[in-house]
Amino acid sequence: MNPDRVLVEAVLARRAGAFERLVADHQGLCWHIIQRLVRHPEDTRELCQETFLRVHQYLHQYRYESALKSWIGRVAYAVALRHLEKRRVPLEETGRDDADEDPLLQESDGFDLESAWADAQLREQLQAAIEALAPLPRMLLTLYHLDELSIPEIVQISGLPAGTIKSHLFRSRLRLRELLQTRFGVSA
Amino acid sequence: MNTPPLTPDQEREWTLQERALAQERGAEGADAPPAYRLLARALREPLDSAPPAGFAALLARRVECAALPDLRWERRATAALVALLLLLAAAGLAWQGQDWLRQLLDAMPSLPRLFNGWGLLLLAGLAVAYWPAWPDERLPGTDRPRA
Repeated sequence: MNPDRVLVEAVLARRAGAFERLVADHQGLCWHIIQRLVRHPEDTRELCQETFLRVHQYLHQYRYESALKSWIGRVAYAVALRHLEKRRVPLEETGRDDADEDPLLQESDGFDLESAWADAQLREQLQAAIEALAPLPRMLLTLYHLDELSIPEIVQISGLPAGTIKSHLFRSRLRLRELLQTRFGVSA
Repeated sequence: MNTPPLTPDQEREWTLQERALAQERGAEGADAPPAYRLLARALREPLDSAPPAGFAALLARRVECAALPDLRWERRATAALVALLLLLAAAGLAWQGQDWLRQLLDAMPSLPRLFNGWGLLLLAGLAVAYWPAWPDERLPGTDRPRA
């Protein structure tokens, strides 16, 4: 039997520990989605709680049309989105077309990856550059790289077209690579 | 929010980005550009914050404390009962409604004035204001919860 179905039925039947297991299984993804969108630690905790309370309230509506993690991810995304809308925080940057501005890498020469990675200051600056991205591309990069979700899975969570997600991933990575070259002196 | 597809040059760049990601995940193959591998490695670093310890247990307790009795079956039974009563009322009206209306109009000669435009408007307004909320909160046609 589908493990999602087993868990959902256990929660709906109010079996002891079932809801706690559901939260434990999915809190990481939920946290990543919300934290990357809102960044504020207290807000992240509260919105994550709100997400799981909504999941508990509406779980009887889950129809197994998507994986449970995608369904919960969608709730988290919607909760965080509403939070940002209330605070009028834009999801993405406007007025910049990276494709026109950024030169493409084309060929690469060698720099020592391991010594660059060992440079704590460079890593710190790189993380700061990732943090400085707009909320939407920041979240998409985390879901794609850290959570290892596929683009179709991210489509289910965000409701964005696959082409839009791919374009955000492409442009954000291109911009970060450009930052590596120009700001940190790392040769591509 | 649709965006135009990537150009052939951009697709080639995308392939390099994906190759770097695959290599950082342990795939064998041609070397990807080190800058993209550095990025892929940085993007796989855990975030600097995580759910607090005991988060799941705390939420489970909160849900248990706040849990109201499951009223879904009761709501369905109530709806069935209301439907039955409406059916019986409709049957009663069809059977004896004409007589009842005639007797009512005889007893209250001023009643027809209520059925002019303003009276109906008043009744409609009261009905809208006091009509109970629909109990089913499901979003139609999806398995998405309301957020």
